[in-house]
Amino acid sequence: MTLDRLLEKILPKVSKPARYTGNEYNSILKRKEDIDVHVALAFPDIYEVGMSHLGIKILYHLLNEDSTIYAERVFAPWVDFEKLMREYDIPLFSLETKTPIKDFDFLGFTLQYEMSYTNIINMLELARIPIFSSERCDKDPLVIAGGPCAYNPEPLGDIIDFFVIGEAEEAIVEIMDLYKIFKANGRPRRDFLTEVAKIKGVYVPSLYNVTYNENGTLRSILPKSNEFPAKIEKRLIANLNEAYYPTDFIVPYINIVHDRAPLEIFRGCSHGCRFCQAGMIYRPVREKSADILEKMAKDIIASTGYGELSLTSLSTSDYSQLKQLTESLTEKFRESKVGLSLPSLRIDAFSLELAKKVQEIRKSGLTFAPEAGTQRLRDIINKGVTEDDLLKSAHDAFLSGWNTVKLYFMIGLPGETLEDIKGIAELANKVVDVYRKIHGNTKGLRVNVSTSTFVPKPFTPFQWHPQITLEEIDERQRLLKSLFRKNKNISYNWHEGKLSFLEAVFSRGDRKLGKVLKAAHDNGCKFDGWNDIFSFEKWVSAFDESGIDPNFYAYRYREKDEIFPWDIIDIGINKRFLQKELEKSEKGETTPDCRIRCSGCGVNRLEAGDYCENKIEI
Amino acid sequence: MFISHLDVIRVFERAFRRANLPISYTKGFNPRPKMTFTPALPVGTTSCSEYMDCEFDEEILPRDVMIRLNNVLPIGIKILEAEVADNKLPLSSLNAASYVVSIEDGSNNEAKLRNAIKEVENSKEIFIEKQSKSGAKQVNIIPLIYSIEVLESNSEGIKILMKLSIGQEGSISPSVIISVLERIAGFEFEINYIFRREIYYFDGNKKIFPI
Repeated sequence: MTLDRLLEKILPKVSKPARYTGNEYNSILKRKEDIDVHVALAFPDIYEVGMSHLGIKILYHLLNEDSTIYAERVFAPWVDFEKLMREYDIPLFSLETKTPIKDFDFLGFTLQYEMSYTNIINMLELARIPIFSSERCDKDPLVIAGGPCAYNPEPLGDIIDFFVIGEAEEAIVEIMDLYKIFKANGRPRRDFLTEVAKIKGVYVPSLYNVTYNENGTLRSILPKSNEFPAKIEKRLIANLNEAYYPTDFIVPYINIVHDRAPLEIFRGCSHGCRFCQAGMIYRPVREKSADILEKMAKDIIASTGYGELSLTSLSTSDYSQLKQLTESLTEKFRESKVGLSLPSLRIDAFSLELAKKVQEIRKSGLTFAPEAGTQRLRDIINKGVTEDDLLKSAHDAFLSGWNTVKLYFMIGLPGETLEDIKGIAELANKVVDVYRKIHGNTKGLRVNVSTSTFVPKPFTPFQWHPQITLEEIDERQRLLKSLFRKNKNISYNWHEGKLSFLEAVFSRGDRKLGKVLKAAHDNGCKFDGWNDIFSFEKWVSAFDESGIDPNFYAYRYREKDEIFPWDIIDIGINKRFLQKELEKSEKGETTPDCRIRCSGCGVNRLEAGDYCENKIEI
Repeated sequence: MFISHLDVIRVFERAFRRANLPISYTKGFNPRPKMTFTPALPVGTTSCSEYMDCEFDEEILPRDVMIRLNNVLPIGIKILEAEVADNKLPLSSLNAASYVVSIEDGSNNEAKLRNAIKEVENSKEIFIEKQSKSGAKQVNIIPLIYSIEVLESNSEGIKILMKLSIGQEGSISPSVIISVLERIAGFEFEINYIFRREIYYFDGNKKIFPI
């Protein structure tokens, strides 16, 4: 029976069969005979999550611009379909042409989240591709990866053939051009890997020797030959106005997580929050011009028919032409009833005025992210928001008719005491008081407080810090639960501590963790980010079986001169700057926004950035 | 065939925008395009007879609507005919649908199947449990069945034609009938496909179609 026939028969038995059928509007169909390079773009989570990710959309359309390349998509099958795939012996296949993934030239994973790593292994197994790089042969696809988690590639170093670090729009084209020559000449994979390693931004772990100290910390990661770079510099698109950006996005049939047209307005962030990895690795700030964005917005809606356009960035309020852009887009789309959505908006008088015009925000309520409960701790993490800012914004929001607000905090930040935890509750109560003062009572008010546990991330000033223990997480969450029990306007929810612990292990992990991932997969771990599937016990036994102590990665206070697995990557920011930021945090000193004054992080040497002209040296 | 009714509505909402057709919107805070559809097609079922009414802000030729929509609809969804809806049978009055269900005839079960169909035909009542918002309730499905017959039987399998009630007077999906037949016949069907062939108003004698 052909795969198509078989699918017709078994898909009615699974939930959301359209996850596996493709053929969405704007999806690209090519004849396999007409192409030279076949690329499977993979996202290690279900369709609805993967299809909401901008990076994979950009690469899909960019690669398919080339008529000799065919990029298709593949997502992790949900557990019900996986079971049937194994039962009917169906190998993992691509969405567009239903080709077995094993027959592709490239299999490229997007790494958005450490807890999707077991899904990568599961997808390789379903595709019948050897899990470890060293076991693959010439007929297997090249397994590559990129995305934010690739900035510490080492935990997947034995599994991924090569990584592309940073913004891949230019690098991926260079890689494809190189591959076409190698494929035409029938040259082996080994040769290609040694050649691709010379492309800027590419890291081929098998070409680097890793050595460790007796205490388990890293001694060195050194290239096996001096033809390969000692440090991998991230790729960066200097001018986003000239960069490729698709307008003909695929329009899914089924409802996905972000079911709207994405319009990226800038990259990078100038705030310098000390816990935030995105704020560091995506530096410097590069805006797109409002004129170009307006035209793109029009083209995107004409091509997709989406009823909602989302302006995406790390911090929408920072966009220098936000007023002009939103006004002209609201005007343009009034007739065709296209709504704007502005995520990551800092709540102030201006944004509330905007929000009133932009209906989508009203539905979802407003989110404030003070991150920490006291000013002392907010200074430590360099979150430039004061209690007055927050209460004034809440006041304005309540006056404008909002009655649902979400407050987002982290627990376990460096230097946190129980006073800071109580501060979270006090702040939430003050927000309730603001509402009471305006309306005389608290009828209809919902304050949703949520906390996640701080995960120290590579390339942040807090990369030297340990995470708090599971017992401490539990204690602090319990304290908050008890503090909120009295107030019926406040609801409290929290991120699973054990998951944060594993995130901490893998985000700062080394190559030794590859065998833990394999063991976890063999124990049945998958979809670890999904609460109903996550099993901490299986992970604990995976660490035991591999003889690896997870506490070594999560709880150790790292020495100032320790060499980190991710030091092989150069993000443009000096380690010295991160260290200085760490010292300032210990003294409770803040660092201004790049737009106010350059603090000399060093990223200006990449010769880009809207605020990097008046740099200073440290 | 693998998308839900809500997905189909979204497909058309976006297709109208891509086609730049002047569809009317409801008033109010959350404007929706003015479209009405025939009753939901069960997920996993194919069809060649779905109907929709839509309203426009300006006069526009049905043929133009059809051509412009077909240019921007995804593979698998196509407008077959378009006419002015005024003075036609309202979609809300449709009360019947014909389905063709194709099953594998693994071990010559045709006789058992025919007996099961006969038994259903001769029954006055067969109750099944139906889930609703207020909990489970027992529903007699016999009044919801117009007819069931074996259309053909060959090496490719057995095709069954079911004429069932849809719409306001009650509806039943072919998969429910299949499970009832399976229970009576005492074996499990291997379903190849379920296809909705027609939707119409049945006045007891003849079929009346919206177009």
